[in-house]
Amino acid sequence: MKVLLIEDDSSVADFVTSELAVKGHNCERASTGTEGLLAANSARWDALIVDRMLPKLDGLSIIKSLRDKGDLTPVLILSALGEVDDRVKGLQIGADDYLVKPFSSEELMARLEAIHRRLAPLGADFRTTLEAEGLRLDLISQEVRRAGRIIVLQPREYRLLEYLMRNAGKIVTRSMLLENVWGYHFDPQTNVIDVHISRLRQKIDRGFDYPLVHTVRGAGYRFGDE
Amino acid sequence: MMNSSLIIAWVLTLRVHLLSRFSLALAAVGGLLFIVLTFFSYSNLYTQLNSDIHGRIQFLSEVYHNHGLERLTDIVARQGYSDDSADVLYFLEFKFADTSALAPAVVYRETATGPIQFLWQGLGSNTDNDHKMLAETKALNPGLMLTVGRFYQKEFDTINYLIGNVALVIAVFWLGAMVITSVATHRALMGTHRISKELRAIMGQNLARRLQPETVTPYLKDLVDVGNEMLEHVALSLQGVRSVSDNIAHDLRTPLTRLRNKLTQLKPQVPREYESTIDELLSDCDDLLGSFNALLRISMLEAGSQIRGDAKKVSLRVVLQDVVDMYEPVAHDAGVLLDFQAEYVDQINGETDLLGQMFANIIDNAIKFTASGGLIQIRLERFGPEQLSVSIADSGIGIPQAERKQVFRRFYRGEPSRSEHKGHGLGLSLVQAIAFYHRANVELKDNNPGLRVEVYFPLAI
Repeated sequence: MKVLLIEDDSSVADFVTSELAVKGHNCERASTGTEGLLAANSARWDALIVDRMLPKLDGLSIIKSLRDKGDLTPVLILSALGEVDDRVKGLQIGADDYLVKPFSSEELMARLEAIHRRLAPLGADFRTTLEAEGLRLDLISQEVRRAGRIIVLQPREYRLLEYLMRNAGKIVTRSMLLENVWGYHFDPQTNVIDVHISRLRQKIDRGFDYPLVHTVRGAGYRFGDE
Repeated sequence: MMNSSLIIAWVLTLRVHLLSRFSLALAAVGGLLFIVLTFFSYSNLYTQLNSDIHGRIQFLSEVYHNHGLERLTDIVARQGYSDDSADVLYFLEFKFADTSALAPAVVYRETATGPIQFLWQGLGSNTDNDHKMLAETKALNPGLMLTVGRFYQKEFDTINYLIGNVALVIAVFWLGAMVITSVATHRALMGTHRISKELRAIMGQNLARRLQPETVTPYLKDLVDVGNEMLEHVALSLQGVRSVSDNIAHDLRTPLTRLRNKLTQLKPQVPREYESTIDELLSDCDDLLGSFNALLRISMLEAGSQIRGDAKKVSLRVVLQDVVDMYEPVAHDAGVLLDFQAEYVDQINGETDLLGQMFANIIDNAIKFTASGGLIQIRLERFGPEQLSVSIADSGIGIPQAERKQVFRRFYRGEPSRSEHKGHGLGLSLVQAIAFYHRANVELKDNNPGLRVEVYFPLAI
């Protein structure tokens, strides 16, 4: 993945660059708003990571100017401003996701990969079934089969599985699940998500040779192998 | 928020209150004036009449003593009976017996309408309606009594007429004063009412707005100026709080996250036996970051403006149902039953994520402090014409009455919570901050046994 990072804080920028490098992504850096906008316009990027508060030109203006001229490159906002209003403003202006500083590397990578996947192969989501590791999800009849055996899921469990499968092989964090499966963005007090995952596991993994939903410690969950 | 009919009623009551006091005071002054005027008019009349009568008696007495009885009777006969319309009556009585001058006597006077009887006792007054008279009797010598009477009906009528007019003037003045005061108080009250309404709107919506001094009457301008000055202070200190919060966000959360990220990077490089230690450190970092975020969020909510009337409308039933669904497996694992019932009810102005956080915190607490086999009842009901009530009642250990105020304080943790459950002690503070943002009230009550958390939300306008 070719990523442009527009960030003025060099320690954050160093961290993001090294994380991306570890995962084998290519990262270019810009440290002011104007420089960033210039770089964004001068090449094709797989994704942009944009800080909100930048010298010379702020992040939201960069995104707005890109969207206004029809550029649909996935954008992840990185910002210390984390209130509801701030998030809404960022998403309304055209960002694909919003990550509040400070953030963990897993969260950043998971979200970056998710927005990239969501937008990269346009038209790919006309699939009517999802299939991975011997598990088959019929998106129309909402029937779930593993090795030919029908598994009955509650609606919420079905959506949880669907989201995990759409991101098969990638880490999804707990807050990504809360946002995408439940539609809420807040800090659930206890291990609410874990309890739902363990219920799902009981249904799709019990009685089979190998588990499909893996826990990634300190990060989240992953469907199938990496 | 007070509704407008209530405000009008309030203004009316206040006006009636002010008016009734003022009118009573004014009426008292008017009445006193009237009484004093009447008293002095009548007493003046009587003094004048008495001195007139006394003067005449004095004069006649001198005539009798200097010129003799003949001259006196001459005058009395000429003046006393001569003129029907005369105001003065003279009467001479010859008493050779030793009768007291003060004995009652009857005087007759011929008038066009026939004899009129006057009854007097010494110096007295007649009570006949049409012919009021004052009279005085003097013994010129032991056998001769001179009586001089004075009719004063005309004077009396004139004074009555004048006093009547004065009473009318006072009444008209009183009424006029009432009308003027009524209008003036109404204007003053509506002026202050407009200012308070405006201030409420500014506090609730946009602290940058100011009161407009041009729209109020000059005597309220000072109030407006003071109000604006206060708003300026509030805005400034709010800005201070915000910048402090932002600094905390930058200066404390960022290094903590850097620490966390370095730990993550370190993890694949350490020998296997240290991996679990690093996982523990990571989860400690997450707890600290969670506390910071909750704390920041509470400060922002408390310092910021409350939700606006034009904010998004949210169905509490949907949010509650979502949170109940989310926590149902957690409750199930804890052996606790979640029972949710909602009346079909209207919406509130709200922020879904914040409301979700609020109910998650309350329900999470309820599950934590309820033993296996317990029940948590969640109810959404209409409360009065303008409120919705959400009640979350558990059958757990409850909170002692003495602690109920303190549990909302930041980092406060009750005894069972401190020893048995992990948490940062910010859950209920955040609940209250979110309630404040939504103009809602949180109350903790006894559920016998257990705790009942009640939240009252204003309905969307």
